Amino acid sequence: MDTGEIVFMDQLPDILQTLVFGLAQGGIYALIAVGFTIIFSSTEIVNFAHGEFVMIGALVSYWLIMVLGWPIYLAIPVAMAVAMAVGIVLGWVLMRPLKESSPVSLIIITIGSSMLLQGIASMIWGKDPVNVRSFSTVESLSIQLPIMQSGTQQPALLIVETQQLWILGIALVVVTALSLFFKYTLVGKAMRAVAANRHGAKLTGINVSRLVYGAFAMAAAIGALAGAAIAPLSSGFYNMGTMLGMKGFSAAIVGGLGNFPGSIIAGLLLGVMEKFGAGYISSAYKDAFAFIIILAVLIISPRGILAFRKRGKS
Amino acid sequence: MNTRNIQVFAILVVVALTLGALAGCGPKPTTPGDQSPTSPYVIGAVFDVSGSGSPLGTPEQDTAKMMEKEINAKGGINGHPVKLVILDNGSDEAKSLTAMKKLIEQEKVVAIIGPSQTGTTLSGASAVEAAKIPMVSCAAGVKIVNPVQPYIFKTAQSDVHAVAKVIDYLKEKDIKQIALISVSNPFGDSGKEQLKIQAAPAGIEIVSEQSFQGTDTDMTAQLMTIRKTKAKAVICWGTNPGPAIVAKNMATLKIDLPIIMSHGIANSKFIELAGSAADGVVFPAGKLLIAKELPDTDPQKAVLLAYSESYKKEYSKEADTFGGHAYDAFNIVCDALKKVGSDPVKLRDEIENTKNYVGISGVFNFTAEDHNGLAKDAFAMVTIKDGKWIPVK
Repeated sequence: MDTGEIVFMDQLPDILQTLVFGLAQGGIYALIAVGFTIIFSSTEIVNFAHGEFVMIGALVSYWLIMVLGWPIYLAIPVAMAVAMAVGIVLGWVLMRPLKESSPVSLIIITIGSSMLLQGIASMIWGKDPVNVRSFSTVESLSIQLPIMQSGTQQPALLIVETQQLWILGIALVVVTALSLFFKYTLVGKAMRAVAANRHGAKLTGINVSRLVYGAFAMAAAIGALAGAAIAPLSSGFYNMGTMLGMKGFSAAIVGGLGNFPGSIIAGLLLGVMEKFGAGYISSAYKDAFAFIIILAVLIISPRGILAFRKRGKS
Repeated sequence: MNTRNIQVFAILVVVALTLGALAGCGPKPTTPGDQSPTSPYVIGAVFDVSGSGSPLGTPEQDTAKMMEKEINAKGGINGHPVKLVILDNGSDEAKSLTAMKKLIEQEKVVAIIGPSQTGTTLSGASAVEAAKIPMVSCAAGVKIVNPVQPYIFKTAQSDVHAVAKVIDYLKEKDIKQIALISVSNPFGDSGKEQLKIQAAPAGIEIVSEQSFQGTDTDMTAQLMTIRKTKAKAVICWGTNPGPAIVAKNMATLKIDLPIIMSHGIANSKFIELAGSAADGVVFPAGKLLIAKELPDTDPQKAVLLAYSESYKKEYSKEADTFGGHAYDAFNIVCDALKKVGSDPVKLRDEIENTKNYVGISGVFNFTAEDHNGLAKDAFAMVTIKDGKWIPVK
């Protein structure tokens, strides 16, 4: 074994640990990115209020679970339903009275809605962060690695919080369900048709505006699910959606806006890069580090990381 | 005009008339020169009641209103009732300046208490200074009183004292290597700066410096880096929710180092957020937190208990440190008014002359060089055990 290998073996437990935490963080970003993608595909609007669905999911589930004592399996669907209702209202605001507006003004309206929702949330729940309990009673698992912890004679431990497993599990289920939905259901196919050619879809008799509401409701529900899942780890607060929304948006962009597998992969990558950046480069610049990589990706491949694959197809 | 429009119009007219009538009812501002024995002393207050500073500004506003009521119930100051005009700056620096100007020019206040945060205080300080109206801020930043400006005072303890207390604790526990993790905002940066200044002379080495953003949801990467160093303790300087996440992450990663935090976690929210991970965390805090556990010899004990009791009675919630800053500011101004009346120059001199005022944030001794007037004994080291605060022995 040469010295390089020893150093690597020494580092390995930490690298694995960072990877686990990064993937869990990335799972959240991926779920948020999917929401941006769903709305963008059907409306060509970048919904900057999307982070607020995440916040609604976190705070409504907090209220139901911690204040009213509801079981988690009931509270989360209700939180998702609340977000869906808000999503449908937002969709209505954007689609009905403002039908003739340009995309830019619609995007600005989403920014305004985001501020409005934060304001309402701060009036209902206050500005202090709130704590939500984990989905599982066992909070973390330690897995013994077949490697020694550097400097000690004990085997290295890999620690996974059960909530992180929940996040990754939820991300996996949502992704699978969405891909099946878009591939096999009529509504899913109609949504893809609207995304591909809005006018053409309309001409074939697809009720575009109803699909738009569907898209807002779906995106809101997935966002709320992400919020409910992250809240036990990060706590929930009225403006938590801003930064999470920005990260999810970045992932959606890197993934090539409107590209589902792309946004999932980009979300996971962003989470992992952020953790390695903070752990191995500088915690002060970790966000900058992640965003620099995003810029680099966009310069090299402006249509997202999976663009090379798409190019062949279309 | 159809019926519906007429109805709407009628409602609007009624609303407008009501508002107009209410506005007309307001008492007229008085001038400071008015010295007739029953004319009110008008004290202005600017607090960060809404916006990001609301956890500070709200208890401050509540406390100030309570104090106004109490002092007037006792017959005011030398026969003058006290009229408190409170404005909300929305935690906005520009609005804070406007509010101060409004108090000075329109309300003709004799003194200003507040604002709640360092930024909102500094933005208006020069205007207040130019108008020669004394202002007693409730914010913590040491920049407010360093360099000293003649008319600007503050009641909140400075970071300098909190850090000094932490350094004392480290020396006592013989901890020579520390890792620092702080939030990237003025609070965290100021704590970091002070720790760097004070650690070296005490023979303490900062072996790792990490930071996190206020809204970050996971600090494991930073803590794993700290784990690789020789640090014997982790110092975390931030405000909720970051420090709670740090404590939880340390428990998850099984990093078994003493955790010392800042006065930024001196609230029940931290315990709620960090849960069992809060146990064993040590931090400097104003004495209000442990008022009941203080020895009877502590000069502040009686004042602290009286304040928390009357606050609880008035608002049915626990008093906190921030309200305490407003309590001290209000009392310091009123004590000076009692002695010299409302002439701003004399009032300023008298405030600067405040000696041995026993308040919530400490025992104040203002001098021409020190407009904060506190020492590090304004803080006590507190630890958390089973979700309760107890003094560190």
